[in-house]
Amino acid sequence: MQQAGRVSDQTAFFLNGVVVEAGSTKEIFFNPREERTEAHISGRFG
Amino acid sequence: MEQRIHYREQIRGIHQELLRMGVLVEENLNKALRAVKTQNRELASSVIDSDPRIDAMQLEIEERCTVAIATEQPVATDLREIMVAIKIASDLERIGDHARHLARALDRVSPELMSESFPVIESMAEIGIAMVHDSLDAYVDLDADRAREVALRDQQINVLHRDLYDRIISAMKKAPERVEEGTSLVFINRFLERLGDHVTNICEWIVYARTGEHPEL
Repeated sequence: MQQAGRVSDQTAFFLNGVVVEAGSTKEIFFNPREERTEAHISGRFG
Repeated sequence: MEQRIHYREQIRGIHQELLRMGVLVEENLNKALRAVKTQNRELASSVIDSDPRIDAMQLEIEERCTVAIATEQPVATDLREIMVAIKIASDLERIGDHARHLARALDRVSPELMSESFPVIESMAEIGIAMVHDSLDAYVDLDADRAREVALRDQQINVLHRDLYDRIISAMKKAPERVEEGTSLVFINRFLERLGDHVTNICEWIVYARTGEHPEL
């Protein structure tokens, strides 16, 4: 997860083949809009 | 489903330490105000003597936050919560310093001059103490609406600050021999005004932790 944050400019979070959220890496890792994105990047599931 | 139990425990520990610090700061403000009101030097000394404990608590919180960042690499709300804990601890430490400054007024301002200004000082301090208390309540729940409401009260302190400033200046003009203690009073007035600013900062950090947006409250 940290590696993805370090090397990318844009990030998309896929869940079961569906894009839940996409945007700049900064936004996704610092202030995601979707609760499921937040739960995943924070290690609460997956 | 719920993972990262250890991390949540770390965050809980940081919250608890921050609340303990807030309670001590609030207690010191109350004691300092009472000490000035009753001219109680023993009470004033207890405020001054306990300030290093507040400073130590700030360091402890910063240490815990640093360890959590290093070991858990938090992101999003988790990361903002940690950052905000560090910022709030810093504001609480400064508020603690203002309680100490108020307690020291006993040695710097004569009871006569103090009694003339005390009603305004008391009002400012009471609003400030309630703001500290309520901002910590808002912090516990990361309640952005409550934080915004608390920050609004800073305007009342600012009005009292300007009023007291004018009164002190006019008292000093009438009695130039009082300039030294009058200046101490100007500083106390300023410290109480700053107290409100620090609580406003705390409120802004609570909104930031909740929303990721920096508000200007």
